[in-house]
Amino acid sequence: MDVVQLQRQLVDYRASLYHEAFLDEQFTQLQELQDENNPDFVVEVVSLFFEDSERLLNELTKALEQQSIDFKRLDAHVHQLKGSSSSIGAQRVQKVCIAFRNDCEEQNVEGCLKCLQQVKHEYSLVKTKLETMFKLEQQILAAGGSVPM
Amino acid sequence: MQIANSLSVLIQQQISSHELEHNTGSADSTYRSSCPKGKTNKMANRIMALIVDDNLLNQRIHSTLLNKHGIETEVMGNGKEAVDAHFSGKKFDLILMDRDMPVMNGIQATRKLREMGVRSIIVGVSSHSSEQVKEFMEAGLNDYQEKPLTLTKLTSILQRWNLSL
Repeated sequence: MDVVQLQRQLVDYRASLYHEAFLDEQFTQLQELQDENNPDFVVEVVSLFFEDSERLLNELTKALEQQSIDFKRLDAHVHQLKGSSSSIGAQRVQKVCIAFRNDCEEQNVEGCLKCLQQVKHEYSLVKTKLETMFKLEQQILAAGGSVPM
Repeated sequence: MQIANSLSVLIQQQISSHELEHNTGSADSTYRSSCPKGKTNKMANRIMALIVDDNLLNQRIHSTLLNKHGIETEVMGNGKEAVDAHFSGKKFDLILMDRDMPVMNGIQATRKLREMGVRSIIVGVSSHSSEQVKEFMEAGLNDYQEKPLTLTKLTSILQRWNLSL
């Protein structure tokens, strides 16, 4: 595939991510912060997001496996995840976190378990999407093109 | 306004020919990131900002946002580190204070800093509802912004508090 086709593919792919609410305006903000001084800013920040989220999802899983669930602790983790996903523009993940926090507040175990499943699902979706997007960008660069903004 | 514009052009020119510095933090998880410096480091009215936030992502994003405005930043992971830094004599023009942090949260830290006589501009940054903001404001904030911070929000803060170069 030639560079122009790849670039078009990337632009369309990105547009679909926004359209399907995987990403929101905050992600655009991050792209705008990338420049010659911070050429890998977006990738770095997204990697931080992946690390942070995976750690939090592990914590959430463990917390919900306990005999007696510590809802305060659970809520603290969800709050963190909500914050991270919001900072990166991962809108769908963020939305589930909001529902998750409500269930924590109500100490609704069933609800929390459902939310955990949902948030894991949304996280893995957005992770795949972002990785695909970065791969496309790499392909463009490898083909000698520049990544469209 | 014109002076600010030509200064920022000057900064941009320097940026293209110098590297960013990164000093990785010591045991207390602080790090400093600066906008590119000239060899003589004689830029007038250097603005120093402190970012207090336990979330690594926000630390990175907010630092970069500030650096983009030509502001040097230091980062700390909780309120206690910020307070201790001030005890040991550190001074900042601007403090971005997250609300929820372990060890000492933003409300406690803001209160403590004001008790210590710290007069820096402290901007609370958080994702809380307006009722909860009141308590944070009363702890001694100058201003408050909802997370996530954006270039626009930051610009308005800097202009309001006269922190633009």
